[in-house]
Amino acid sequence: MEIFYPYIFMGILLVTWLTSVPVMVLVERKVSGWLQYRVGPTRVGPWGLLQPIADALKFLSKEDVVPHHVNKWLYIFAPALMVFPAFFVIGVIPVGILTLGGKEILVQIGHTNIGILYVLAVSSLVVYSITFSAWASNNKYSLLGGLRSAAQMMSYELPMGLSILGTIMLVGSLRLEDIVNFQMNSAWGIVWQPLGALIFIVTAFAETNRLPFDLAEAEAELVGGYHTEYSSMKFAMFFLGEYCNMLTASVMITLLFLGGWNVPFVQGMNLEPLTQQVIQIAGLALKVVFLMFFFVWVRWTLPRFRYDQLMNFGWKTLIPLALANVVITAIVMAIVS
Amino acid sequence: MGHAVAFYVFGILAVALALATILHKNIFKSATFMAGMLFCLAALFITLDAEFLAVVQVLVYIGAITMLIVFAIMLTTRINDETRQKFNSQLWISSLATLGFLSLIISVVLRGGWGGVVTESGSLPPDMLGAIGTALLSDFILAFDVVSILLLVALIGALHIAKQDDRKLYVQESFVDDESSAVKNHVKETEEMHV
Repeated sequence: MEIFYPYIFMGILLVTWLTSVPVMVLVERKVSGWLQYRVGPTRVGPWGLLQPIADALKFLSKEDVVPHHVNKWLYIFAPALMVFPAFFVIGVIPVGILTLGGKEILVQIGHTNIGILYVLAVSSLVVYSITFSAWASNNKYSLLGGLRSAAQMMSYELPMGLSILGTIMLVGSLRLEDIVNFQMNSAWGIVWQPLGALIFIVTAFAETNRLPFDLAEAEAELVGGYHTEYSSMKFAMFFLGEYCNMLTASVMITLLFLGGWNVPFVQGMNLEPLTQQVIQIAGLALKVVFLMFFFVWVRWTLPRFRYDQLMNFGWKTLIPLALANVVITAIVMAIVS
Repeated sequence: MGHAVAFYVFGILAVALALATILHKNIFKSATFMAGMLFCLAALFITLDAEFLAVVQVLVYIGAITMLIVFAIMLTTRINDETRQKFNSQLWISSLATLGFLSLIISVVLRGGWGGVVTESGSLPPDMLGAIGTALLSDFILAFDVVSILLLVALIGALHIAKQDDRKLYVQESFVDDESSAVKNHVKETEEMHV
């Protein structure tokens, strides 16, 4: 039975990631409605609940236009490349521990020693989809969006990697499950590494191309940015990728800085192991849902950065801060030990 | 067994993509093939149980270096020019040099002596990452530092060159129109000379 667990987890996690997308599309529209004193979608189903299904049907039934001036192979390949890292990254993300058949089993598809690095590496592949679509579209707005995005994602990968270095130094492991265990036994990562957490959250916004860092699409300046020339399901693939990456980013923030599946006071309540573990997984889900809401909240609160501001902020503010965080962590660790 | 099959599949794929990289006429697609080739190399590392190396390969070579190349290509014009010359006149010299390098690599591989990281029983240590880190900061600290300084020098050099170009561009823009068209003509002529 045990050898099937990875496949079962794979199914469950994939379905979770995929279903989160239509839900998030609805949440985004509803929340943005509330934040702007509108009602959001109300027509399809009660309270607009069936809106995602209507959207999906529309995407599927629309004509799939491939403009004649595009570079066909890359044009078709690019949307697929957006979804590929979004699903590939799920492979090493742990979401909890379950006691099954008298054994404690980590809910994770593949066990590896390099969890965080894997997530960083695979999510850095998203930029290829954007640049390929931008170049293959043969359109100046797409190209500008792609160029901006390539520069942005490369610039913000550096502070993102540096911001988690403090946590890695504290824990002494790149395994995500070790990092969560460390937080279970002491305090949440945000207490240990407040600056690191802040930088990681900011860079997560930049890496997922969400406002205030959505210069790759910037509809006011670039029509639609890199996906200007895309229609129907290919266009939907970009959305799918974006929301999946958002979910991954939220899960990563939770695992690294918000205690993962740690729920305060549950360990002292003398519950049955399985009940406790299910509560913990639900706790993780709750934290992730809050972060997803936070993503939407920020989107409708902050205006977009100008391009030079974005670059200056990344290179002249975030990277020095992240480096300082590493040095301070190292000094404090040396003094304490 | 599965590892061996995957190793050869990705190995053949890597060679094919490497050939496509240098033989394809479109330079943007060459860069695309190169990214694919580097990804196959990462897969090769995975089949050899070198997870860390594989991930670093993706992070550094695909995520950063090839991306920079793609970035630079997107800023250049004439990338769709099919008549662009692919090879220069140094075919024989370069093939001789390549063959020499290949024989050097083969001789090094055949000599063996992969001690150090591999334990006595021939298997990899369980804490691969720790072993690599310790080796880098103890036995190979000099090489590590030299590489760091080299990268720093490259960084400062790049900054210097970029700043210089900035000033030149500024001067060019401040010229009157016929002056800049003269510059353009000159660029065109030199390009033709190279072709």
